[in-house]
Amino acid sequence: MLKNLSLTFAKILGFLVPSLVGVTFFFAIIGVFGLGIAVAGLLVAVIGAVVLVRRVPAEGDAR
Amino acid sequence: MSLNPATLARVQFAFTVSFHIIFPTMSIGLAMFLAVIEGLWLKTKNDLYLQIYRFWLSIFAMGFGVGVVTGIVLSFEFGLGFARFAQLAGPAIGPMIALEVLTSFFLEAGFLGIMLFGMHRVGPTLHYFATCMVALGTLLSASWILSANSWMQTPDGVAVRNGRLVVVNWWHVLNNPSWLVRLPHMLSAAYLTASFLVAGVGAWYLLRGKHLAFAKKTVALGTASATVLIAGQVFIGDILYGTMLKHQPSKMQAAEGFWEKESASPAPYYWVIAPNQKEQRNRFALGVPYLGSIWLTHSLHGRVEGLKNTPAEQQPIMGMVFYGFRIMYGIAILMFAVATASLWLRWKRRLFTTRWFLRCLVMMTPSGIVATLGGWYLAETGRQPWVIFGMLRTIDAVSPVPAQTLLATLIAFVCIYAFFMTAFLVFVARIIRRGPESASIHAEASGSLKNALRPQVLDSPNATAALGRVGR
Amino acid sequence: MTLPLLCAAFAALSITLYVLLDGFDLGVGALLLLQRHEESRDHMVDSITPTWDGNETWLIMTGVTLLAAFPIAYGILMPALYIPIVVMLLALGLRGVSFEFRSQMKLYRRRWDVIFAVGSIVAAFMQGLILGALLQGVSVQGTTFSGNVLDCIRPFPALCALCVLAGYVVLGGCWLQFKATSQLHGFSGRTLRIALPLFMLAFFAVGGMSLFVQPGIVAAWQDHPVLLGTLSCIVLLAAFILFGSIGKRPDVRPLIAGLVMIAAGIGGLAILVFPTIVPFRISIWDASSSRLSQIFLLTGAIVVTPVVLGYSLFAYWVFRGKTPEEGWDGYE
Repeated sequence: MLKNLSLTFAKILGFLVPSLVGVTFFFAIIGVFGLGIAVAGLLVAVIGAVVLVRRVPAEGDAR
Repeated sequence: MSLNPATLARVQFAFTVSFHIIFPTMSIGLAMFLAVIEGLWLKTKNDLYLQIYRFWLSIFAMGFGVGVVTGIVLSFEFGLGFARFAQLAGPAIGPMIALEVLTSFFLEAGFLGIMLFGMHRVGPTLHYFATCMVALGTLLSASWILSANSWMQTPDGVAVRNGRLVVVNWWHVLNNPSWLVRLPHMLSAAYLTASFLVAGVGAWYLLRGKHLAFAKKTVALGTASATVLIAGQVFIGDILYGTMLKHQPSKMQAAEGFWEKESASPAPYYWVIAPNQKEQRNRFALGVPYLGSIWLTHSLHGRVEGLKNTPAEQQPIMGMVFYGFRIMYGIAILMFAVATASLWLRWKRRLFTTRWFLRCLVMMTPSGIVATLGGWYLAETGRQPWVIFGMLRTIDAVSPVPAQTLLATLIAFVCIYAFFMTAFLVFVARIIRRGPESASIHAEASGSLKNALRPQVLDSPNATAALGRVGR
Repeated sequence: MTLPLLCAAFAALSITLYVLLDGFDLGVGALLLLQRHEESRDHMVDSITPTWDGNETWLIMTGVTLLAAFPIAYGILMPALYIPIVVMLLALGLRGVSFEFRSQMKLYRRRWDVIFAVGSIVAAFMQGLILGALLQGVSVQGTTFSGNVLDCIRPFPALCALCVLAGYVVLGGCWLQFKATSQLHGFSGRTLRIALPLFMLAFFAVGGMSLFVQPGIVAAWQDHPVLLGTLSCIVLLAAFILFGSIGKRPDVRPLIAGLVMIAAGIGGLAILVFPTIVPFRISIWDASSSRLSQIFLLTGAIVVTPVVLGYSLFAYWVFRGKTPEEGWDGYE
């Protein structure tokens, strides 16, 4: 029961966290918080994505 | 219904150019993808990359072919349907398109043959050079044509003397106010298109449990490049929004769906509207409250300008502009969501096993194409009623060709293009169904210029391993 | 003053290259209809596959040069030639996609070949109609076309169309003798022996009839009798050399003779219409675009054209020699 609950909780968290991060970045990049933050947000997003893709090669993505 | 030559000429141009843009969008993106893949192959000597290259090359070749033949039509259509436009704008856009032909069409054509059929004759290194030249050609082509189209959106560097247009400053014509923003926007759209095509096909194989090595590689590559590109694209899109708001306020007013000079505060962000152009109001509108103010004015209570700020006779048709924009923007949001999800799943090492995500990717396969079409509808219908913004009205540019002739040729275009599209889709579906392994992969990753300079290298035992068409 | 001349020269260069290069492509395409054996048809298509795209690009180059340097002429001629141009574009489209699509499946290849051939024939025919319509003259009022779009569908343009089609078939036959292995030499020889006399007949019929259709042509003959006479003799001489070298070595000789023959014909046409760009109506100076536009175009053309010719030749060089019977990638 408790295990089930924590599993559901993990699932919800797994949905909520990326959604929040995504929405924040989206709003930042389209300039809602000003051009400076838009550029910063873009840089963080791009560099973050590149680092993640390189550091965590997807399974089967042999290099 | 009476036949109006102006309407028919516009429908014909709209139809042929919409059909055409689908294929360059794919080939600009796929050419770059192929260049990257062949580069990886030469670097790693991993045959998987050669397999990916050959698979996508055969699809690229067909798309490129359709793009070429539908593109030839356009270079004549400026005069066929809009003679007055050609006569006025020729001095400005003519040389740009001429340079496009010289610097890019010939480059593509010259090296495409080698790219498709020349692996045996020139060897991998020179072949890679040919691939890069084709990719460069598509890039140059986009630059010139975007410059010409941007000049029509934001004309600069010209004067009108005795009814003829005179170029005063070429730098201002080429580097007109919107070119340098619209070009990266289009290129990035094309690369996104290719990313989603590649990832979508890979995801389809993963869902069916086939061609797993190929599928994993392409899904990984496609989602990774899509992630980086969509972030940049959203940013460029916002910059472009600002540029167009400054130079073509009527377009952006129509794109947001508000009629009154100032919207209510806080402004909603409309997703569905039923505009009534005659009465200058929306019969019906559905939107997200506050979001309009936040996105468009960057404040909680800002007001958005409506289309009534533009005199009625200079207004574009709101419905087309609005939905063109919403389709593009809606898909951009979906792409952003998919990109975010792909990063998360990669982090969790579930990128290839999460079935709902793979299904999403499959559904998103053509998303880049649809978004690009939407964007071009925004750009082109938003410019109306002008063909050269602020200089020449579309209605005044039409050729002296009778309506019956235009109608007959329009029907011919529709029939033949439908035939092209059907054949293209059928063959692409066949290639995808057959899978990447139908073409053998044991071409040697060595070779040099010597091959190219030695005649008759035809009967090598590896003849079946050459690049090019998928085996029968 | 010389800028429009240079631009006209560039336009003439590109249309000449188009006719010479895509001429044999279209000719080979038209001949597919007569070739019964599928392997031979594959072989014929393979001989033009790697380079056709570049050849056809010269057509776009011509149209766009007109738009850039002579927009007034472009805006008159496109509506005037509306029907043949649109039909030509559609036919070229059908032919163009056939290159890609025919290689995709063996089952229906015969049908794609028919589309390919019909597309080639119709495109060639329409180009002849365009030529005929230009020679008979288009109606112009001010800077606008004032005639009827059906003006180009008359006996004289139709005769020109047959002439152009025959000329392309001759070039196609020459190309096959040059590129195809000896298996196809019988076919190309038979083709040439029939098509060449037909072409000569049509060529001189067009020449004669044009004198009655267009007074400007009579005037041109009176102005340049020696030049036009010489070019006609070159055409005739080249035709005899071509006829004599059918099926003989070196294989390239008929092709060279054919190219010289057609080039001389184009040279004659250029002399007939010079210095007009809308033939016999508007001169190249009156139709010119702005000075800076022409300078821009010419600078680009002078810098880039040699490079273009360079790698186009390189592409031909890569695919030099006889076209392999099993195809370029060994699958055929």
